[in-house]
Amino acid sequence: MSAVSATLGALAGALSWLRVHDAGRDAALGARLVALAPWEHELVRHLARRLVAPDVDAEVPLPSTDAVGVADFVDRWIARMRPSMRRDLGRLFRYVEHVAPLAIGHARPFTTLDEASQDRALAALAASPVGDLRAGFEGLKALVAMGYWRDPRTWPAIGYPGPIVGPAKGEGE
Amino acid sequence: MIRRGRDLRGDVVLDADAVVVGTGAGGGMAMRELARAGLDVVALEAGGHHGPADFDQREESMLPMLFEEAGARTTHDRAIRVLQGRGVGGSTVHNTNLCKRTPPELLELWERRHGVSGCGPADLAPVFDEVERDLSVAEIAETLRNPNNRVLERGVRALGVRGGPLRHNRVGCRQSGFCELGCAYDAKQNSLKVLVPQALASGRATLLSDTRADRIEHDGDGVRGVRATACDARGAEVASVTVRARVVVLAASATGSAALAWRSALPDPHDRLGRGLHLHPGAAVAGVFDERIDGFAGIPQSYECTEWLDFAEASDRRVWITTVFAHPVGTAAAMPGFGAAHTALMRQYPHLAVLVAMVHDRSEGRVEIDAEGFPVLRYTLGLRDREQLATGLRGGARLLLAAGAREVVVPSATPLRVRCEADLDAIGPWLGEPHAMPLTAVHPMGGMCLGDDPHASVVASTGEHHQVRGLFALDASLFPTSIGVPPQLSIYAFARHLARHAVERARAR
Ligand SMILES: Cc1cc2nc3c(=O)[nH]c(=O)nc-3n(C[C@H](O)[C@H](O)[C@H](O)COP(=O)(O)OP(=O)(O)OC[C@H]3O[C@@H](n4cnc5c(N)ncnc54)[C@H](O)[C@@H]3O)c2cc1C
Ligand code: SF4
Repeated sequence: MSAVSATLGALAGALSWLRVHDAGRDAALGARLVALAPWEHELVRHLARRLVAPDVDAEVPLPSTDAVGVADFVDRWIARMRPSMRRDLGRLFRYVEHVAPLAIGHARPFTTLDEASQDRALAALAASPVGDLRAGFEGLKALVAMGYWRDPRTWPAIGYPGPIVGPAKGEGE
Repeated sequence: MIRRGRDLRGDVVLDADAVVVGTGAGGGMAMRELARAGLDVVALEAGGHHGPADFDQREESMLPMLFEEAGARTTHDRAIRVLQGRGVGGSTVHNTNLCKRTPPELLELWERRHGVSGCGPADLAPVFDEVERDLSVAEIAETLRNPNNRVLERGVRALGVRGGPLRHNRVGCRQSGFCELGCAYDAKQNSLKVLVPQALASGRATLLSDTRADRIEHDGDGVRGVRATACDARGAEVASVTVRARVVVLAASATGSAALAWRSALPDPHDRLGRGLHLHPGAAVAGVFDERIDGFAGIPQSYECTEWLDFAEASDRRVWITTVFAHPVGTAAAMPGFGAAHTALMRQYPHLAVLVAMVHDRSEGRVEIDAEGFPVLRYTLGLRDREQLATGLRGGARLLLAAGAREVVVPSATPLRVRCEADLDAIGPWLGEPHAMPLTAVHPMGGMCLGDDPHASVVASTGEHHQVRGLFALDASLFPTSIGVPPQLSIYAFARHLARHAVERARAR
């Protein structure tokens, strides 16, 4: 077991008794998810909204993270991860949903907090004195970044022209 | 002949003179040399066989196609991201094509301190000449320098520090800037394009792609072959493969070769296996410019700064600076913070010039395996190396400011903005501590180190395992120390230089 697993396991293991799903709501969603549990999918949607927080009012607006389908993408992406990493990620999701809010004085799950509180919980995670938790934050950010910025609809706002497969500029060396 | 593992079924048994595991820089060269010597060679490659038509220049599809663990591999504590290739051609498919010879000071050091023989500067000079000819290595012309590299050149000149142009292995390059996602224009003179086809053209080589070597068959004294598993496109097992051979060449990379050795329970009486892992850990600083830089376009990494790098034994100048640039996903993951502030930085994307400081590391890690047999990279950056990293980041920031950056962003967990010399003091060794800022390594080395003393190394100076006859390591695992320069040319050259011993062994038995 890696140091990361050990820390997250200890922190989140105690929470395994918690009900983290809602059977009715989850059935349809669960049927189409490959790797995430429905409650994890919901958590990723919340995380994506706060981690990316696209400024839709700008001159060249960015699409919302839900419109891009970040959580669905993350579901497919983590299905390919090595088993130990998936286990760590599962523990991290549980930690973010149930423990991270405690750090800012809330005893409610992350997905039920208002946006400002979610931002504070994420900032606390990013600056945590526990290295594994900071790593966890960076891992979540990287997953969400992949799910969002891969989408061509996000590129005009950042001046990225995208792939140019086919003849490109220059005649070569 | 290339056979795709996904098309195999049942139990496949092959006989050969030699089997090569992995087809990257070391494996491609070993395969070619063995086949050219008239030996029957089977090469096993865990990843798929892809060509220019498959390289669509998108991170979401190229990371899973071309990188181990879709680019998510890290050190044991997740503190350093370790990028490695997977597929025919290995890491040479998505690398940036930089070619630098092993510094002669290090070759001498290896002879003096690590018991390496027959691999000194004079032995290797003609080999480097040949390899550079094979791979068409040439300096990138000044006219082809993209704006990101021009920024570095401007900084070097303004500060009056040491720097210069770099040499690459590319022919017919269209300057697309997508090197790290595979070349859609087939311009890379790499293992995939040059060496593997030459090996196959000899008529003596068979390559099985999508076929992962699980275990080296040996009797504790000599090798008997390799057991492997062929997988379909989604990684599901479809066939078991046995290759019986008198010689086995490990070229599965610095992490893959040692992991395979662990899984095979090779004799290791002096507890050397996996030791000596070096990574060249690096971190980036981004300069924000008023003008557009469009760092994503044009040839990457055509210029370097070597002011803080030399190879003397006790040197305190061990950091190399060059340009680096990522596409949107990579940039977003590396940029500091989250939410609105992060999005604001992303909107500066075309105005960023990015430099990387890479440490010629003395910290030594170890390759181990987890319960499922995957490599675990135990590695922690020591204080001396963290100081080097800080020197490099300060140097990078100074270069960017000297080149005209409005400000420099250090993507630490608590973001740092540098606008003048005085701000540089905030950059310290703390940035190299785990999870203080994103660290990335693209040059893992060591794990099956070279040397004639079995107490201090895993393979002899011939590349052959000290205890298991006929087993060779001919990839990045060999190097007894960090090499401080991009390693592909050294790997190609060492594999070329030492493959003759594998040829002799195959013929002798
Ligand atoms: C993004 C990036 C940019 C880089 N840029 C440069 C550069 O510009 N210049 C430079 O000199 N170096 C560069 N490098 C590093 C360089 O490409 C590598 O150091 C070099 O290719 C390593 O050679 P290798 O033979 O040891 O392993 P690789 O080239 O990594 O090949 C190993 C192969 O073994 C296969 N394998 C692993 N395990 C098994 C198994 N069990 N069975 C079968 N096959 C297996 C893998 O799939 C892989 O194809 C870069 C690396 C990266 C990641
Ligand atoms: S810059 Fe050149 S070598 Fe790199 S991907 Fe584009 S065409 Fe290929």
